[in-house]
Amino acid sequence: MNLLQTLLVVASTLGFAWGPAYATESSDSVKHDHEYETEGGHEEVRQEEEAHVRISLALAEQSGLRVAEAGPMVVTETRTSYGRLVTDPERLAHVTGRFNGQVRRVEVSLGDAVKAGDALAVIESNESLQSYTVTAPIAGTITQRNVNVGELVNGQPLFAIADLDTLWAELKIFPGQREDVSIGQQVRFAIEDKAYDGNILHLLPSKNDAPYVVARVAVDNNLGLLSPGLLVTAKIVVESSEVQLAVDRRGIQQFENRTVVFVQEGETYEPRPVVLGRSDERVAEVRSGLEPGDKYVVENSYLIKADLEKSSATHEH
Amino acid sequence: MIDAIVRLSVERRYLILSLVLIVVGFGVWSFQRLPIDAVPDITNVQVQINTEAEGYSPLEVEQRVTFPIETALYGLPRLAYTRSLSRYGLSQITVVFEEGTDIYFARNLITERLGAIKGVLPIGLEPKMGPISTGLGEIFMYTVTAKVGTSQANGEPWDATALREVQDWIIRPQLAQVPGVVEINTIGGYDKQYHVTPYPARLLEFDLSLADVSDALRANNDNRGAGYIERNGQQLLVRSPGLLENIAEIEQVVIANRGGVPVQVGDVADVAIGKELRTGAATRDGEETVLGTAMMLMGENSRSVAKAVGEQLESIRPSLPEGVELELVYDRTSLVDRAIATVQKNLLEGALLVVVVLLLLLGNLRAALITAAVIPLSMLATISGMVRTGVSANLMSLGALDFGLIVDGAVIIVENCIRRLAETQAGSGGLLPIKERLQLVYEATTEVIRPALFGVAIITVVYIPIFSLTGVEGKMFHPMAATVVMALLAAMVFSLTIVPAAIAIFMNGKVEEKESRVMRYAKFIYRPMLEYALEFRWVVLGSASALLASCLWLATTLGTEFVPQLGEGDFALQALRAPGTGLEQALEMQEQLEKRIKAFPEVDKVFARTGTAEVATDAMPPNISDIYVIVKPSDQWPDPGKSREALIAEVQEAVELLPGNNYEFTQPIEMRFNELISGVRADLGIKVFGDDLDQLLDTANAVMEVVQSVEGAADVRVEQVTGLPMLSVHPKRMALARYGLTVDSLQDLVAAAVGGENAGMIYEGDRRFQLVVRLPETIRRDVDNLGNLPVPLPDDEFVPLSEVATVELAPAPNQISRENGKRRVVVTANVRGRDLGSFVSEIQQRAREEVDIPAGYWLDYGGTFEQLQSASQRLSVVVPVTLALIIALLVMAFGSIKDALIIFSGVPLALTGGVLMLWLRDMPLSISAGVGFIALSGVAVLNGLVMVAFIRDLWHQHDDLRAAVVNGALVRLRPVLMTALVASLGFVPMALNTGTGAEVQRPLATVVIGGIISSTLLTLFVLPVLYSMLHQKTVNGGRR
Repeated sequence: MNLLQTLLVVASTLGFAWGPAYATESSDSVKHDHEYETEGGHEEVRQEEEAHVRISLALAEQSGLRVAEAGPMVVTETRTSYGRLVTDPERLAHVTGRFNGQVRRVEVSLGDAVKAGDALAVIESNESLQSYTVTAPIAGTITQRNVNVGELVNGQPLFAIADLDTLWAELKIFPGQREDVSIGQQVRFAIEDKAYDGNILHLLPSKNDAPYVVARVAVDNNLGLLSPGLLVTAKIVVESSEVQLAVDRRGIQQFENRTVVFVQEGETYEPRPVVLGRSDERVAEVRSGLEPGDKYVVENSYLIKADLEKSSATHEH
Repeated sequence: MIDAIVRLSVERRYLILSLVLIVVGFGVWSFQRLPIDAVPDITNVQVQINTEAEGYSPLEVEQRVTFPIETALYGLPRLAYTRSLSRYGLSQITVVFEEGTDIYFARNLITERLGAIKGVLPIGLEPKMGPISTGLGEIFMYTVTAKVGTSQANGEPWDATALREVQDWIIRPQLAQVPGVVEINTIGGYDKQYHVTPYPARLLEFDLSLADVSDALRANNDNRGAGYIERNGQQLLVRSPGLLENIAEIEQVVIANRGGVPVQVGDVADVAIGKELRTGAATRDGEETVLGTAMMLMGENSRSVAKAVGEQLESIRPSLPEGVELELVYDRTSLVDRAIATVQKNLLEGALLVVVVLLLLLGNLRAALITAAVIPLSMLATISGMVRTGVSANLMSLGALDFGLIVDGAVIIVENCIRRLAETQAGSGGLLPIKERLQLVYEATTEVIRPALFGVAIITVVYIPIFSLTGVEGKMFHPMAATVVMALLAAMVFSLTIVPAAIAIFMNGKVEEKESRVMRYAKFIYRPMLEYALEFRWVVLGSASALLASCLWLATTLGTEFVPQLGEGDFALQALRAPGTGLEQALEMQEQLEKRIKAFPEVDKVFARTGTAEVATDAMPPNISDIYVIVKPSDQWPDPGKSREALIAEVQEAVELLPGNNYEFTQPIEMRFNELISGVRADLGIKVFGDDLDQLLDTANAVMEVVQSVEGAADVRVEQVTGLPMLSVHPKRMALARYGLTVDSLQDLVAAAVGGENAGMIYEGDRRFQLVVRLPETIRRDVDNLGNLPVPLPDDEFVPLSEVATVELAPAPNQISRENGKRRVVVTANVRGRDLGSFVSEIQQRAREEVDIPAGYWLDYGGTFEQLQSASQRLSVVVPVTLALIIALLVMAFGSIKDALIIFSGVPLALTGGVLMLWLRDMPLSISAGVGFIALSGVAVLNGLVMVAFIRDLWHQHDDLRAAVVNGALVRLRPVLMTALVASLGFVPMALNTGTGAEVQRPLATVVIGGIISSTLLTLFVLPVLYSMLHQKTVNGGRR
């Protein structure tokens, strides 16, 4: 039965020709090699202490990696708030005639600038029939002029004089920021591309029981570009201090659910989990995790993160 | 019946011969209609449903879009399965139908279902079906670039937005009209938009909200027709045009009235041409570009469509604005041409060699030509058959054709006729009268027709296992088997009809059996050797068995590969970056990468798609790039001898150094197939199904631990589902209520501020552009200050966003994959050094025991092992059945099981040569090689068949076994050598070719050449020995 055996051998040969071929899913040996490598990278990430990236200096230069030294920096913490400009109530005068009577003369027009003591109008009293001069109590600009020659004055305000050299910004401080804001803090405004400075002088409760307090800041308007009613965006400097150790915020990345910066040592880069403290728009204080003088990646720090995480990059459909 | 056919062919020889004209005519006609492509189409029947949901996060996309659509698809007729992907701004559902489903029928069904759920989807979202195209569809790609130093008509330099406008409104409308093109897909640049960017502070100043701005724009941007008036018999149409036309007009739209003063858009906002929030971009040679892709309609001829697109592209060129260049970067035609050239070269050279061999061995020009004529005829008939059965011409389908094999039947018949004619003429000493000649031809034909027919039938039968392959492998190899079978059948029919007819007509002169010197010499050597073999039969049998055993062992040491890789010439790679990488960042990395690849002198062009194109045929997140590397022809390389593999390895080495990228090297068409077919590409994929993503991930991780602990597991991985950093704005309900706000109004504000709100269209002739209201880039990008965004209150007050919402940065699902309507997370693993079957069953058992799977969650096992299981199950039935079938055929032919088995013993011995040859050429076992083995078994059986038939007839006539064996073998020496030589020489060009696509054919040809050598030796020595041994017993037993 030699032949039957042969038959079986043939059957198994043919079966064999297909069978094991299924075990390798792809003929692409390049791809396979690569998978091993990916696996290696994956393990690196898993053992966090050893996670690092090696990039030659030339390549780092080419890829736009820039490093900086961690060290002391000034951190200026700010809060943003909005408010409107109002005239200083202390520098607003509503001028009335002391005695009722007829207006004989008006000396100023709307918009005229007056000094304190300047004559505004001459009124002839009804009782004494004597004329008296109404003068400006404060220097400023005539913002209202409610009388004309020949009219009777009956105790109504005749003029309003406002001093617009100093305006007040009334910033709305909502509860979320309330505890950070206090009297005396510096405030920076950017109004129509011009920078203004001021300090918080008062903190008042809002008028109609709205849920915010009003921080009042005097704003110098020597240039006369500002006007009451203007809406301003203010940055309140909550704290400004030099911290021992700070990093540029562009260097901060999230890696494996932790905040890290990537420290350069020669040609290797490794993630250092850091605890951040105060921060402003540019820099952040480092409470722990980094030593002064450590070189960390500032520009293109995402590249390092990407390289560490690339093993998890897959294309699923 | 066969006799009747042959008789008819001989008697009505002119009529039969005129059939040739019909075959030729039909063949040529079919050839015009033959779809030609480089590779077989392995895409399944699938429809993609893409829904763009601008601004939706993965979770919302899944809940609002994907789920309703998936549910609507339940119970579709002929549905195989659905899988879906919910990603930022996009829901993609792939509906896969059973094989053979008509695509238009399937799309119709889906349209119907989609229509029914229109009301369920969020307003404004429109599910769209992907283009009717396949993995072979991306046939033509071009880039739109600007010449250095040129500028637009308005003096501005060309930028990505302007180039995109040229693509969208000049190039695309013209290209889309090319017949056979189903879609022009664009990626890169920015869709031009008009942006109104209000400053929050200015809005507050006038007590306005973002919604006020967009409402004002909407209310001031319309044309209205107002019917007509008849005046004095004339009809006047009435119309009130009010469309905004340019930036100045947009700026003048009045939003509100404050103290009698109109507040215009320009007072609170900047208006400019802006950039869309794009989902994808294109790069070329390290710079951003606009990339257009022409998609071919399913079933079209890629070569002709690509050519038509190319021609259209040329005619578009003059209509482009000054300075804009249109450059072809990928054209399928070149690949197809190269592949077809390879096949053509192989077939032509093979055919030539066959003719030469025939001429040499037959020593008769006419006979050689008659035999050779079968080659073009069966080719034409095959082409007709291919067109009728819808098989396209490509490397696979034409790759296995060997004309030597095809003409085997004809060779045997012609050889016998000539021999008989020569013998008779020599006997009668002159020309035969026509009647006798015809009778002789008839007899000579019928003498060998049965074995020849059975041989062809057997070769056909051995292709059956190939037809049992399913899935991707089936699609790859069915065309190959179908073509070969068609060619064989055609050749069989011709050898029955046209060949005898032609012999009857043309062999009318003196037929000299010029026994060529080669033949004489061969016979001179063969006879004593055969005698010795018969003498030392145990030595012969022993060495044959030893050879068989050692080759079996050798076969186990050969590497294996399943699907051969068709070298496309150009190559592609996917750059994978960390999930969550932004598009701009990815582009920066991509540009670095491309510059590095471009630095290779062998590389002509390198271009890439990053993220998703306008039509989401491939829904890639922005952290992935598909990179195409177009290689120069190798004669322009600094070292033309360098192999493509070496180049790829060098490129790989160079790009590995770049930080942040992971790569997968592939090829353009292969990449597209992978994207479409998708599924799990590892050996084993364990799918965890369920509802809660966290739970799914927990379970998946538990499964991963189990898998890792199983011996042989490698590359164990859990699909990445989280990892997209997400900025969540959680509304504080109490605070909102206190300020009289609703969650809705808050969300509207955030969406409009960050994402932008569509406030209508700006028309410029045909061109239309969106008018979008959103915050200025500086404010929008400032994540830290998002909390300070003022939220307008109903009473003209405002409150900062942080008062009414918490802003939180946390990782969130970056995409949600579903399959058959359920969320799933996949754990993948490969197996090393262990057989997949036991590996899988161990994991299945341990997962059952060790992993705690909550109610409502379940596991499903898939991956390549599925294919292995189904394929090996099927093959374990089909292969024995096939073998049995062959034996049955042989038994039918001889009426003797013994003879059948003797012939059949040729199969394993023939295989030894193939295995040896593979080993010598250092090639792996592959399906291609398998097909070679199949062809080989056929040839071996055919030769054995003819030989045994002759020996038996001689034995029956003279009753001397030994003499019958020796004489029969000597008589059959010539046809055996001839069939062996034509079959193997026909494959020589294929075995040596290095052109495009030769990878598939080389193993096949190698196996056949090696196998035929061993098979010939076997037929010449082992077979007579076996025959005499086995029948000796019969003789000795005295039963005969």
